[in-house]
Amino acid sequence: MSSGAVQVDTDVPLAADPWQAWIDAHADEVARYRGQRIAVHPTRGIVATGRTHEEVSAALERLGFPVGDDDEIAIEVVPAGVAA
Amino acid sequence: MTPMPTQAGMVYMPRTWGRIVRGTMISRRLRTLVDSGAQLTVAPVAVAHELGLSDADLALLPGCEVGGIGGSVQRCHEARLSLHVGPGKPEAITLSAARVFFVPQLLGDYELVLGQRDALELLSFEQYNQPRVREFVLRAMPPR
Repeated sequence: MSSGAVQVDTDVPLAADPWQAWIDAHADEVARYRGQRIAVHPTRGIVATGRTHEEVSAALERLGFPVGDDDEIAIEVVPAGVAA
Repeated sequence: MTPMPTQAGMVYMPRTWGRIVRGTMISRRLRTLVDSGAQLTVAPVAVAHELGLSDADLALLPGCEVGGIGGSVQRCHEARLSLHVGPGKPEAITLSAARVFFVPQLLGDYELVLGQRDALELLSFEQYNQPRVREFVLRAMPPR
């Protein structure tokens, strides 16, 4: 990936995306949270879950993951099931 | 492109991460869909609250009604905020004073949808979705 562009290739990742890499490597674990939001840390994995953005955000604050420039968390929305 | 299971098999979607910035406040890194079929760039009100925008603040912003989000018409509020699009700082595209429409609930598998107004009016978007090349490319467009 170069500056100013977003490129994603499922076979040969062009971008350093540690959150997506963790999600891809732990699909079974992620699938347990269908229909929920998960907070993913690139090395620690899922650190908080919730039904809503507010729930996940509040859990992250309680756990000591403040939001900011250096925030290492990404909030993924796990699909509830197989889409139509 | 991110693989998503459907009843018709695996479908690859242009998903990335995005962050919304208001002054010195920045949102969490949000699952983001690049949606050329969406008219507006939308995010949930919960994210606006994280950025320090109260319901009273939102009420002062221009409002409109949007449909097609969760199958119902929702009231939204339009803010001008910066968007960081992409997984990390070096890769991120920054859109300054982009139009973000906050809705009560953004249903679906995303926390941020980049739509035509005005994120995709400020970017070029190329997508390749063939078996050996599944990728998309966003580029900031210089003013014409």
